[in-house]
Amino acid sequence: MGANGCGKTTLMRILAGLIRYGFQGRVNRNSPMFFMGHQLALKGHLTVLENLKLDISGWSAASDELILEVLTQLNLECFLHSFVNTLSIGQQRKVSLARIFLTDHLVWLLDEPFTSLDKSSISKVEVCITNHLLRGGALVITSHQDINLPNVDLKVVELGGRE
Amino acid sequence: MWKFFHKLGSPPWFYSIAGAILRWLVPITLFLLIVGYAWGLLFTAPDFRQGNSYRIMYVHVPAAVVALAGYYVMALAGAICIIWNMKMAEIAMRATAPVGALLTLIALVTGGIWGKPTWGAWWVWDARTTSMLILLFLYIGVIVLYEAYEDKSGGSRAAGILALVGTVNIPIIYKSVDWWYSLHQPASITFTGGSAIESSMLYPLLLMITVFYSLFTCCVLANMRVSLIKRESRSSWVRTLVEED
Amino acid sequence: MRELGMLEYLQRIVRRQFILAFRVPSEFAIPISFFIMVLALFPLGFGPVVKNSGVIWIVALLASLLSSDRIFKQDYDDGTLDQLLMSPQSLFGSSLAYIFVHWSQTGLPLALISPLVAIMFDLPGSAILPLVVSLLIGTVVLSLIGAIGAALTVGLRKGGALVSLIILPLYVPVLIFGKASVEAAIQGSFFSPPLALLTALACGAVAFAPFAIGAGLRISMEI
Repeated sequence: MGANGCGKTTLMRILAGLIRYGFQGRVNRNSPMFFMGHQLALKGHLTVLENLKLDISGWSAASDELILEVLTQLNLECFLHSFVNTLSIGQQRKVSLARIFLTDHLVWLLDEPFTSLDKSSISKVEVCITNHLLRGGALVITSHQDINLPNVDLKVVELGGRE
Repeated sequence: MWKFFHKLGSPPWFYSIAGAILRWLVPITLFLLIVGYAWGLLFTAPDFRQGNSYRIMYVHVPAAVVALAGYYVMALAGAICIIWNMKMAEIAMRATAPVGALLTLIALVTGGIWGKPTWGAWWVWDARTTSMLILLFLYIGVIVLYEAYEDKSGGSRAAGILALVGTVNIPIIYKSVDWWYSLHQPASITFTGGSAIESSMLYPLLLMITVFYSLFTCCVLANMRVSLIKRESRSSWVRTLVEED
Repeated sequence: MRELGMLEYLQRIVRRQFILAFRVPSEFAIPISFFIMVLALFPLGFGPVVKNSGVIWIVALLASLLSSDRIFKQDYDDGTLDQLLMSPQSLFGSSLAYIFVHWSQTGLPLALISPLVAIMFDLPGSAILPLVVSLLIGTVVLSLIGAIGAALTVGLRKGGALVSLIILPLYVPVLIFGKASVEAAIQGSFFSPPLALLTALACGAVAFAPFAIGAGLRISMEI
């Protein structure tokens, strides 16, 4: 957690292995990670289905049924064939988050995942996160606001401002 | 042996070593420069065809040779920077680039000065001139690239990649331009091709080439020292250095 | 869910880019329109008849140059490049996939339209085949070199003009061999030697450029 500009996103990117730190190079990745950064990594001119089916995270290929199932859980099934740029920002973020469920990575790195989401969506995502953690997954998450995750031990790190 | 390289990576050590080297290298270089020019300008006979104007060769050829070699030095530093991520290699590359670019410019300008009395034109499009011009552009590209990056380390690495791509391309470019002009200009102007020079002109030329190499080294080392100070201005060894003076 | 193979991954990238290209046709149309418009300027600047195939080549170069900086820009802006770099698939293949799509949107149409242009410029019939073939092969190299420049500058704010400065010197051999093959045909001699050299350039570029592109992308993502 921390204020704007204190380096949360940079830290996330270092953990994801996108940025080197010091002179030791990149973080070694022993297990595949799911990374969701500030941008949504969605193409506006593709439909939701195309975005998820042709996703280039490169780990696995999801079947159409699985995609539909995941979208239904997030109340987005009616948008299956809509272009992403016709959706609201919150809906787009949910589509972006839907990618998590198309993979079974153990480690999740989420950079401010709750922005633009409404309360019911936030609680849904919190439930998913709790399930993930209870299954033995790891999670690093940055946020402005407090996260409500009962039944789970959260380690909160507050980052100071810019040097 | 590896310890030596490891030491090279340490800024304070390099700074003092470079300073020590410069202390004797600069006077020697200047001395040889004067000797070389005196020899070339005063003590060799005028050329059969070109008269006295050929003497610009003593600036033009060494500048061109070292400019080309300098690019390879820069690319080598870039490669070291990418592979081993040494800060000194970054500084070395950034120090070499402007010096090399300047030498290329000197070579081009002196080539033009040589050309005017010899062939009547300030600029002739042939293999050598075109390749030199492209070399200048390659240098400029590297410099502009690393200046555009805010992050110095990233910028140096990106420029290093570009320099490496450039080194692969230099022979290709030269050969292709050479071939092109051989198709289009049957009477190509050959410069002093080495074997065609009389030995009395050759020796001062070789001396001048050596002098230019040494000049290059001096400039690069001095440049590196200045960059080091600038970059590490907040570290302790710089502070003690300043306090000592 | 099943594991994603390399070929399927590359197919994905290609499919994505092609679908996008057809849905946003301006990306497709810009290089071609530029090519034709600038070519139309030459007779105005030089006089009524321009029998010089070099003009076509130079304009092809410029068109390729101008479209280069956009190869990765879109994906950098919307976060797709993050995902690309985090994937286990090799960047070598992904780069080639991107370039293939870029080439089919810039170089390929250029090469296909060149017979028309050759007629406009009153070039002899013997020149048309070498023109098309040399453009086909040459633009592959141009796309590859352009992608190197794009990868190195994608994170920079002033990327566009910078790319041109960086890669223009590297374009020279392509121009020379391409032009030479057309000229050889016009003069009636064999045009295959320069074409062979051009193909050699292309093979070398395909083999080595993706390394530089992958490295450049990694560096750019750190910004």
